[in-house]
Amino acid sequence: MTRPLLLFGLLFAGLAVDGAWLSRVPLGFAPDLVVLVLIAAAVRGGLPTGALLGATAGYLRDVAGGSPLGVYTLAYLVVGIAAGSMMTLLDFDQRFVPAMTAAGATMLVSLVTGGVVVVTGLASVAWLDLLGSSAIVAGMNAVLARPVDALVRGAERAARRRHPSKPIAYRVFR
Amino acid sequence: MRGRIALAGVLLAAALMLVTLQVRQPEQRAVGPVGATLLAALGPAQSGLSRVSDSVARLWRLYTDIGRLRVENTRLREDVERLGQEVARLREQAQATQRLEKLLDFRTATGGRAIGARVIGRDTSQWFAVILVDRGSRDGVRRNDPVVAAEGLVGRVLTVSPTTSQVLLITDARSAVGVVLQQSREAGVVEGLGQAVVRLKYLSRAREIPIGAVVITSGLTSLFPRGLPVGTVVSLVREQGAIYQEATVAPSVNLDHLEEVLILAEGRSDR
Repeated sequence: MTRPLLLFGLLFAGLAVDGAWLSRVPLGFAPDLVVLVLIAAAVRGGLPTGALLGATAGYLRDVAGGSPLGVYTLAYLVVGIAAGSMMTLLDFDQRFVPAMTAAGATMLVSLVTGGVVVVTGLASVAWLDLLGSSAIVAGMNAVLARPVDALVRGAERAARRRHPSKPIAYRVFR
Repeated sequence: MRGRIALAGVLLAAALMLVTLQVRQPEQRAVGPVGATLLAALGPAQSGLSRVSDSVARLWRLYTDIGRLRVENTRLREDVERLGQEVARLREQAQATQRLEKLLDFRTATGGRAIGARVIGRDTSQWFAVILVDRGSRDGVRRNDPVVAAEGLVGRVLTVSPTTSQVLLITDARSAVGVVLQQSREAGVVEGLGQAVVRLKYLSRAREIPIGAVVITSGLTSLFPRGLPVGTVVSLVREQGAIYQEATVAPSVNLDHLEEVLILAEGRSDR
């Protein structure tokens, strides 16, 4: 249970930092740490990790942010599934891969949430504005992708060191 | 692989169902016990983080305020010193109404531009009393301009560079200032001794000089305007056979702790 708890803790911390600090950045846009933690874990953990973590992250975001429950759950779930599916395709240790993945994931979150909002009739969406603002957030996330990935990896390594006799997979899937 | 796809499918279906339910019944948005627990945990975490960021913001504001207050403080000090000079000048004017015409000249002489300057250096030798200030010829400072503080005369400009000036303090052995005793109008010359006190020379032996007598500039030389406080008499020196008597004068300005001074750029009586 170490790894799921650890990832949940990172998501929780990302959500808290997003809400308490990044939301105060007076730029009109703020990076999304939750999605960065999500893709960092999903790309290395695969489809099940991505799906479960995506649903959890989205639900957390829905609960904490006050959006209709399910909107971000769906969006982050899609991102988690997509990132997890690409585990074998993406080498996250390459220099620009985390940034590009983060940018793509950010755009995907915006498109899915925008689509859900349109389909459900919650609001009208100005797609050009949405794409513009999403591109800015995607740029911010791209910059932060590598540090967050390093943080996730570092936390996982730290967690592994506490139980050197057991492989990480054993503790995750036992 | 099928199991993983099935897991993703189930989660997608659950999310879609959740969205559908919520959109149909938005007024019944209920996060449930899990969501409530998450919110309960998230609240203190975000509150703590907010406090940290608020503290940082407060520190930053404090830092910027200090900078602003420093600037304001410097300006106010300049104002205080300028007003101190104004007060000293007006007192002198009140005491000697019979010399109105001369005092008018004095007011003209000292009422000119005063340049506030910060002391940025000090001669470290024990023999010379020279300070370095951060104003120079670019600011209009000229050699021999009088330099004062709120309490009185500091000295005169010795050398001028474009951005700085050296000021010869009245305690330097090379300094000599024409003075009068404020009450008796007895004239003399204050010379530096290279010590904390200065020597008042060429006082008539026939006159009684009281301890505590206030010494002010006489304006008889071209360097200093009349009426600037120089110091107070702390002791008398009457040597046998000497034509004159002398006095030890404590400068009215604490020259060891000068931080800001005023340069009377148009204060010399030869201008």
